[in-house]
Formats: sequence, structure tokens, C-alpha cells
Amino acid sequence: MEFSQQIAQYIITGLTIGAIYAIVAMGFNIIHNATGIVNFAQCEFISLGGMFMYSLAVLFKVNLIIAFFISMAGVALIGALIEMGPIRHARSKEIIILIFLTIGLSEILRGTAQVVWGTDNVGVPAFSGETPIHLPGGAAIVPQHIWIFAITVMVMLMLRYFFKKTLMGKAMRATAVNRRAAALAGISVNRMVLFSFAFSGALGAVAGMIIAPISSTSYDTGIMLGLKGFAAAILGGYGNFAGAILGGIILGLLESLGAGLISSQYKDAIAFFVLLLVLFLKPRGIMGYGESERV
Amino acid sequence: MDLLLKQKDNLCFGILALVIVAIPVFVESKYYFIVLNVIGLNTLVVVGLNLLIGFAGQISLGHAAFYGLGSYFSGILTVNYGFPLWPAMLVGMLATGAVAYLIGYPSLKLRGNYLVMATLGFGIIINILMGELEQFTGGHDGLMGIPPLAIGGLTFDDDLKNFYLIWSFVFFFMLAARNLLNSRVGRALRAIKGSEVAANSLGVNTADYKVKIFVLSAMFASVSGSLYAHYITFISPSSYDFHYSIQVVTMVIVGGMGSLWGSLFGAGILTFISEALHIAKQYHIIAYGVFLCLVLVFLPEGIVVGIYNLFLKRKTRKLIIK
Amino acid sequence: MNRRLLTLVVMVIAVSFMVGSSLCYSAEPIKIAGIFALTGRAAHIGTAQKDAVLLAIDETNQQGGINGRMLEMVMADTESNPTKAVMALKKILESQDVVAIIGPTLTGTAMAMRGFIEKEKIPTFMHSGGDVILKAPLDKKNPNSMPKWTFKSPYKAADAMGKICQYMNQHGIKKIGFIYSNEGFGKDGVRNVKVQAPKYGVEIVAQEAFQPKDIDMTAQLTRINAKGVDAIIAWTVGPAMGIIAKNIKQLGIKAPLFECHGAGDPIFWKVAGESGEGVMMPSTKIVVADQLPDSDIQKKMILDYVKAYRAKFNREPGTMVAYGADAAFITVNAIKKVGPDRAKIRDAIENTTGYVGISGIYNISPQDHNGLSMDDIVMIKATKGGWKLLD
Repeated sequence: MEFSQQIAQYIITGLTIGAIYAIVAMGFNIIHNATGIVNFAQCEFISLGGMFMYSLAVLFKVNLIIAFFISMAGVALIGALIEMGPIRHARSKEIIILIFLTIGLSEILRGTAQVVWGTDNVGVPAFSGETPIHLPGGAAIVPQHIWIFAITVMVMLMLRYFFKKTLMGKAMRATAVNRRAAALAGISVNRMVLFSFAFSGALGAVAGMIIAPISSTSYDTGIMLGLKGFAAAILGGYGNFAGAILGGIILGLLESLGAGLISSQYKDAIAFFVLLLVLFLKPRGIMGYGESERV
Repeated sequence: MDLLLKQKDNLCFGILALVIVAIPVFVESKYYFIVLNVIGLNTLVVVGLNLLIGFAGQISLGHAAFYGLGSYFSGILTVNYGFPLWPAMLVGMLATGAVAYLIGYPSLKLRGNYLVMATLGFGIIINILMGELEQFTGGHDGLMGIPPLAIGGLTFDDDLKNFYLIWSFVFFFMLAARNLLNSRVGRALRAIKGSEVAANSLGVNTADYKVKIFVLSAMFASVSGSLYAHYITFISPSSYDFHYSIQVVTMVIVGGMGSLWGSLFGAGILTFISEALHIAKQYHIIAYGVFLCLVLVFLPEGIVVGIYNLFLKRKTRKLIIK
Repeated sequence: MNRRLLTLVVMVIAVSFMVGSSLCYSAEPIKIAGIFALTGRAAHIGTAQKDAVLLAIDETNQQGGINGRMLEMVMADTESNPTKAVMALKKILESQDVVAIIGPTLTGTAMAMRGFIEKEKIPTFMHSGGDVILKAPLDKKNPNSMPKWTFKSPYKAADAMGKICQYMNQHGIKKIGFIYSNEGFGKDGVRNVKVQAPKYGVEIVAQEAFQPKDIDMTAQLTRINAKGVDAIIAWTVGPAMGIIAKNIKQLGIKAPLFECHGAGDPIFWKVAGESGEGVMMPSTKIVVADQLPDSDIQKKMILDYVKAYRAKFNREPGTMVAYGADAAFITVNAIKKVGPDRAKIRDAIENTTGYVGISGIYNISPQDHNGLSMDDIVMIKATKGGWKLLD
């Protein structure tokens, strides 16, 4: 295999992993944009999406497309329930308390998933077969990768439109900036936060479902993906959707090029090291905007 | 008022000392001793971390790295290089402090979630290095045969002796933390938590204080890590992954941010609960999550202050009804 | 306000109840401890082993137990964490009447527990993969300080690797690439392949790592493929077994894929799907029992166990199950022979010779606390959702 072909494969691989990180990152961003917190239960949304899909598509033989949307709705509902229950009734709205509340919630979700589905990894059929596609330049992908690219880009465009152009999206952003001011302006803060949890639940489920055919899925697949997705979100600028794509792709490329050209043992260390360097130079991520200090 | 508080504090330290001395009279089980020892080790980390989170208002999800550095410095120096025990621990503490300074200086300029990610990423890098630098660390198979600590002829080689050793450290480190908080430094830290900008304008060098307290909290974790290594006598990278970082921050929050005694209770209660809940068999993770959520929803000020407040409010309400 | 207080009171009562009830034991049955990774990253392996051990104990009890006394398993969870594993061990040892331990699952937890096991003098049959458990001296300064109370049931990883290299040698494979998960098990594989491959004239031309939870290994495989290898060995247990098989198909790599001795398990098909076709691996005979010649002395024993396993759990047993079951049966046999005495059980286990187990014929001795040899391993090939025994 020629060197240029290898490089082409590393780049394609980086882009495919990056697209997955990006879609996970966007899930983090939605909740951040409405509440300012990091929702660690996002990891569990990913696992649940994959496991719902497995139960419906493999165990109950439901049509893939229908299973896809039911799973999405199911995890969105779980996201909404999380908000309506503990998050809304938490006596303190301090960010760090809410963050660790989501850690507690993710323990409950993960524990429950383990009891329901057991600990084994399971596979989910690919959306449209597994025949490799050979790209010009010598790299190869499978059809599922095209689905991942397409869905990630579509989700990004939809979210951008939603947050920038629609009234509800703007109201959500206003809620994140200042809850009280938003409430005074007539925005139902609770409803905005509720929607953001439901949305990010749905998005987490999508992430879990589109990668399940590639990497298989289990009750805890979401942990590592969630962590990388969070890193991608931060790298791109927390809360910024185009930034999430950029962050995801940079992280993915760092990993695959790091593994291919430098050392596969240190590839994660290389990726996180670059992330640290970027943060030291650009403390708000690559596309992050400055936030004025509140006194 | 200040004097009163100080007396109350002294009383608490007296009680702690008494409890430490008295526990071995009532407890015989080795299992309870290892639980108590792990509580002690966690308390050391949590007290240091609480200085950073509770008083300086900075979150770190990378303290597993400092805990691990302490363990590995002690382990590597004594096993591979035949270092004497106590100096190895001291070198470990200072070296960990130096690493904390190098990473803390640029990191603590970051805010909120960015600081969370930076510390998390740092922790992951250190964890990977523990597994990869095989010629020093023993890699993923771990480092074995770490000698137990000893003073003169006394070797701390069982659960009871380690209990006294670890809890003496807890006692003195808590005392040191208390004294630090009652000093100029403590007041400066509280000012930073209140409002960094305001503190800055009043002439507190906030950046400097934040880094210093970060280094200090890393040293607390390092000492705890050293004690762990000499107690269990085997270390491997999986003890120092980001789950441990999350666990200790959870202890800080459950105990109560900015409460010194809360650190003790946070570490104690969570370590104990996660053991006790094994009774729930395969449901123990769920049960732990439920417990955590209940505390965070209903007692966000921490379990000690929270319960205290509950009773206080009940009392005042009764008075009002009367 | 009252409601909050009520919640609190309920919580306190619940916790104290849980603690209280954990202190009550009845003394009748003979107790064996099972320490497994039931939660955490190795939960998928630990759970399978737990089931296997439970089945073995059930069988013994159905046959009337040991001298009329039933066996009971006291279970503990290591949470895949070394510290928790040591805590679990001490908890188990609290109830003095536990006569032997089976477990733990992960090599890291096993290493943390090992020192305490030797100190407490309780026979322990581990089913962790790493050879280091039996090979590393307890005291670094004294190379003769080998563990006395620790045994392990899975093949030595060195033998499994040797089996693959032997097979390669017979089939004209000269240059190989090695890909492994970057944790204890994978690193152990690296050390072994470096020793075994040269013995059989096989050359390692590429060596790559990945993280156990990675979702894509095409970068590593591209790099290996670029070196022009005749075959690839993948040393990992878990979802990566399938991802590698899929990635190899994706990249159109023609070199055959060999996986480790933990891959012969129904999980393999779940994670690999159609891409699993043609992957070869060393394995216990449990997954190909019906294809064994009738002359094989293990055949009947294995078929009986598989039947019982299917009846109880309604699924196919994998190779991990064999390790758990053998550890349990050998320990139970030792107790049958010498009664519930820790030191005597240890000696009895150490003198187990010619025991026909599921994984192979165990010949345990003071020099070898595993007792299996390379001849007990078979090479199998993943075919049509099942397994085919190779020569």
C-alpha cells in the first residue's frame, strides 16, 4: 500500500470518528445552551439509544426506520423525565451541584440498563449493508459512515437554524445567559430547560444508534464516547454547534493520524495533550466567544 | 463569636482524636478497618480538594493523577531505587507539587467547564503514562512488592497499625487545613470564591492564590497516594482513572463545599454507603445513584450542614407556632 | 419540610437495615467465596464466570452436596477496581468459615489481592488471564517467593499464543502484524508473542495498540497492512474483537485474522456479525464439543456441562464459562476429598493430577499452579455463526 493511500485512509478514519464525536458534542451543547451545565447523563443517552435500537430492531424485529424513531422518542422521554424530576426540584441551582446531580442520574440509568440488558456487547444491523466503498485516493469506508456524516451535518444545520432563527431557540439561549432576565421577559424557563433535555436525549440516542452497527453497543458504551464528545465540545468552543463539528473532527484526526504516524499507544495522550495546548492558548476553545465576567 | 467558633472547632478535634483512639477498642473486624482506612485515605484527598473547590471555587477533575503520582513516586523510588521510605514519600509530595504547579499555572486561568476539561484531560494523560512507562511503573501489570512504612522498629504491616498511621495523618492534615483557613490565606481564598474581580481589586493576587492552593491540594492527594501504596503494597493504573477523580469531587460536594468537617463526613459516608449498598446485589449501582441524587436534590449545602439546617428550621418553626 | 425529614429518616433506616442484615450468617453449609467483576469495565466477563461457578455449585448440591452438607457461594463484586477487590476480599474473610475463594476476573484485581491471599492463607482459584499472577515473585528481592495459595484456571496465555504460532508455522505464515488492546491483557500478549513467534519461525513486522473502548481501528490496521503481512493477530476481549474483524473487511485486507483464546464465545458473533466469518482462534473445547472425536476423554464431561448450562441459562456457553467451571469443580473436588479445611484444600488442589476438566486435563503441581498444557488447546474457525474445529 502506498504512503499516500495510507494518509488518505487515516484522514477518512479521522473524519468518521470525528463525526461521531461531533454529534455527541452537540448533545452536550444543547443542554449547555439552556442551562450552562455539563450533563454527564449524556453518556447514558448514547448507551440507551443503542440498546433501545437493539431491543426493537434485533429482539422484536421492528423495521429499522421505525425502530430509529421510537428509540429517539424513548430516550427523549427519559431526558425529559430527568429534568422534570430531580433537575427541576433540586433545591440548589448552583452549576456544580447540578453537574454532579447528572452524575448521580447517570449512575441510576447505567445501573438500570445493566440490570435490564446485562453486560454483554450486542450488535445492531447496519442501515444499508456492509459492502465497503472504495474512495478515489485508496481509502475505504462502509455505507454506515456515509449515514454518520449525513446525519451529523443535517443535525448541525438544523440546530443552528433552530437556535439562531426560531423564537424558541432564541428563548432557550436567553435562558442560559440569565434565567431571571429570561423569566422576566416572559420566557417559560422550565419549559425551555425541559425541551433542552428532551432534545439532547434524542440527539444522544441518535449518536448511539448510528455507531452501534460499527462498534456494537452495550449498557456502558456511552462513557468513553461521552468523554471524547465532551472534549470535542470544549475544543470547538462550548455551546457552539459549528465548533462542535470542528472540535470533533480535529479530535478524530488527531487520534487517527496520531495512531497512524506517531504511536498508537499514545494516541489518546497526544489528542488530550493538544487539547490542553489549545485551551492554554485559546481559553474558550477554537470558536468560543468571550463571555463577560459577571461581578 | 469568632472565639466561640474556635472553641467549638477545638472541641471537634478533641472528639476526633478520642474517636480515633477509641475505635480499635470496639472494632475487631479487619474488613471494617480496611473500610475505615480507605475512608481515611479518601478524607486526605477530599480535605485538600475542598480547599480548592469549597474555598477557592475552582473545580478539578484531575486529582486522581496527583493521588496516583504520590503512589507511583513512593512505589518506584522504594522498589526500583531502594530509597528509604519516608524520604521517598516527601520527594513524592514535592514532585507532585511541582507537577501541579506546572499544570495549574496555565490551567487555572480557564473558567468553569473549560477548567473541568483541562484537569480531566491532564488526569487522563497521566493515567496513560502510568500504563506506558513500563520500565518504571511496571505498566498495566502494576508495581508489586512495595514495602510497608516503618518508624524505628515498628512496621505498619497490618490493618490496625495502618489505621493509626493513616488517621494520624488525617488528624494533623485537618488541623493544618483549619489553621490555614483561619489565616490571611483563608480569608483571601474566601474572597476569591465570593467574587474574584472584587478580591482582585482589593489587592488579593487571585491568580497566585489559586495556583498555590491547587499545589497544596495536589500535595494532600500525593501523601494519601503514598500511604495507599505502602498499605496495599501493590499499585496499578486502574486505581487512578477519571472515575476516582469524579468520586472524590462527589465526596466534597456531598460533604459540603467549604466545610472542613464536611470533607470527613463526605468521604466517610460515600465510602461506607458504596460498600454497604453491596447488600442490594446487582442493584447496588442504582442504589448508590439514588442516594447521591437524594442528597444533591434535598441537601445541596452538604450532608452535615444540610441536616443541621433541617433541624434548625424545624426548631425555629416550632417556636413560631408556639 | 416534613416530607424532607421523612425522606431522610427512611434513608437512615434503610441503610442501617442493610448493614444490620449483612452481619447475620447461618453456619450450616460449607461456604465458598466467589469474587467477580460484576460491575465496571470487566462486568461482561465477570458475569459469565459467576454463572458458570453458580452452575457448578448447583450441580454439586443436587448430587447431595459434600457429606450431606450443602455448598453455598458468598459473592462479592470487585467493581473491576483493585482497591475494591481488596476490600471485597477482607469482607469475605470476615466470615471465618469460607474455605476457598474462586475469582477474581481481572488480572489487575488479582494482583492487588494476591499479597493478602498469601498472608491470610486461603486457597484461591483465579480465572484471570494474565500469567503474571503465577510468574511474578511476591517479593521482588527474592525470586523464589512464588505464590503458594494462588491458582489459575485459564490456559497460560503463553501456551495459547504458542498454539497460534505453531498453527502459522504449519500453514506457511511467516510475517505477522500484532494488534492489542492497551491494558493488562493486551500487554501480556505482546510479551508472549515476542517469545513464542521466533520459536516457530514467525516474524513480527508490525505491532499496534488501541484503547479497549475505541470504536475504530482502521488507522492501526492500515499501518499493519502497509508492512505486507501474511496474517494478523488481535489480542483483546470485548467489542474490539468484532470491530477489528469489520475494519479488516472494510479495508479489504486479505491476510487472515487470528484472535485470542477469549474470543471463542457467543459474544464474538454478536459484535462481529457477518464479518466474523473465517476468523481463527485458540479455544477450549467447550464451543466445539460435538465435533470432538468420540475417543476424546473430555467429550462426555463437556457435553453434559453444556447441556446443563443451556437448560439453566437458555444460552450457549462460551470459552470464559469453561474457566469459571473448572476452577469451581477442582475446588469442590478438593473439598470432597479433604473436608472444609483451608490448608488441606490447598494441598489437595496442588496435588490434582489428571483431572479431566472442560478446558483440558489439569496436572497441577507445586511448580505449575495452572496445570494445563498446549495440547489442551484447540484451534477453531468462526463459521456460519458457529465454530469449526481445525485439524
